[in-house]
Amino acid sequence: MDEARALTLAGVPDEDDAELARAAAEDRAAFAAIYERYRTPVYRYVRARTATDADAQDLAAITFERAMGAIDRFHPVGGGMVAWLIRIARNAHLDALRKLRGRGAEPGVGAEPTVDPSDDAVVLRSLIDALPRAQRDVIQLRFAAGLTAREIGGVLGISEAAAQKQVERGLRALKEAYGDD
Amino acid sequence: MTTDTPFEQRLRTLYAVSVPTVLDRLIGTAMTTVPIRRSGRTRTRMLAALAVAALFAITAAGPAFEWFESWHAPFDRLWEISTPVDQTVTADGYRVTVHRAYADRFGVRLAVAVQDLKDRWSGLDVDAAEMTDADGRVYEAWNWSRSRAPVDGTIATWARFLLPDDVRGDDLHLRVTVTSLAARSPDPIPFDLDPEQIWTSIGGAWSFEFDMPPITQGHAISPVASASASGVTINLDELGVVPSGTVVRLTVDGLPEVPGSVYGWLPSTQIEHDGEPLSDQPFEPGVIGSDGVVTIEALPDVEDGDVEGLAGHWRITVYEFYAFDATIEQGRDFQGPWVLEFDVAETP
Repeated sequence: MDEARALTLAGVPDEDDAELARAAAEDRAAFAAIYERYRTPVYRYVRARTATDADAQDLAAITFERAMGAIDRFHPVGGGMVAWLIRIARNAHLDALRKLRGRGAEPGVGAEPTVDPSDDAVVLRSLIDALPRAQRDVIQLRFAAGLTAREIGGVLGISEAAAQKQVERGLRALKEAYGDD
Repeated sequence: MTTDTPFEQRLRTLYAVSVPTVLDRLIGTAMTTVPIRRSGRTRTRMLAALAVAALFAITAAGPAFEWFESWHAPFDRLWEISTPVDQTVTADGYRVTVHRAYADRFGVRLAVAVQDLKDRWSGLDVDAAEMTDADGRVYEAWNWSRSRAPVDGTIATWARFLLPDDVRGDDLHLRVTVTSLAARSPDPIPFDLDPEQIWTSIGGAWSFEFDMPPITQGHAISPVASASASGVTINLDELGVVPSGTVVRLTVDGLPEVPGSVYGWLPSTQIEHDGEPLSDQPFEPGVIGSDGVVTIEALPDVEDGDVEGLAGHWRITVYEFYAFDATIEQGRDFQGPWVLEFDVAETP
């Protein structure tokens, strides 16, 4: 029909996720399987966006609690459950930033402000933090949460092809800044 | 199997932290305290009631933000600033609802939901729609953003129509007819299937008539800004700030024809205002309309709050144009970048 649709054909429902969600909607204990499966991508994602372990723990807890409360509304579309959870995490993080700003505090996002040039990880983190927000976002979605282009598309509400392009653009910018051309 | 480059592996290592056990305890506690909101059985009963209600030809649909919420935050904003229409037409097993409408100097947007009452398809979409006003003027359908896949047989679409030049400032009485839906088979798609066969068109006539609120003008300017590269010249036609966000209209000269593409060349762009990038993530890429103009919509990142004015430094970058040529089944690139940079002293 048209290329835009042809590029988004990957939106195939994940029935396994749907089954997990149905079970958790009936029996809260069944949510443990969802947490077990997705705690690592969610935690790594929120850790990438926060300054401290404690902030990341709070945000991850809020994410899973919100997911628990809304599990009856989960539908296996747009990148599956991991994309759904990451969307919740992303919104929870934005809520937290707004509250911080409302109190006049500066939000702590990403790495520590002091960069030790001999520490490769710190340099990389500071360069990622310096990227335009859209590029930083896709880098964290890809490499912290470990999402595929389809899942990133599900989080951002864009096609798989557009998500892949954004990842490539972010990587290109990061490599240039890092000097890894 | 991983195809990561060493640089990408380094990035994964950078983020490879363990989940602290304290989180396990927090979630374990929450599982005993967060109440279950609604049972699956209750939900099934509610959906059955909705399906019965959908048998009426035209009804007040009521708010259906559920279909649109959490799709993407900027669309939440569009929902908030739009006006309820809430008209539903059911015909041939499909229920089409126009929930909301919004108009500014650049166009009309409609929040449209389509439901297949039998929930048969893995994809569903508004394939074509026509919009006219009381004076017979035609509004060109343009570049719709849609939800990913049906939920309970329903998809949500923000349909956009370009505003003809001579209606600016008018109150509008609009007639919209959805003339075709597109449905995608629920069966797995074989690799060798002709892409033309993946989607099926479903003809019909789901018609709506409603009054639009006065058009929001916002602010727009047309400063001189252009860039040329690789034989392609881009000129800024108009830059505007309206309640829905920032709109950039560009004229593009020098791109070759792509006869095998429906949309033609799609730009990859970035718009920066005073050094801050605006997000175009929720929108499909700008397409070249029948007037030869590329219209790009962008929003301030949700972290940055409200839409700003025009004053300040603007940098509009088109990195490349991309087209998928169905005749050769390949994508084609046209590389830039083209950078248009200018200052606006104050909002007119």
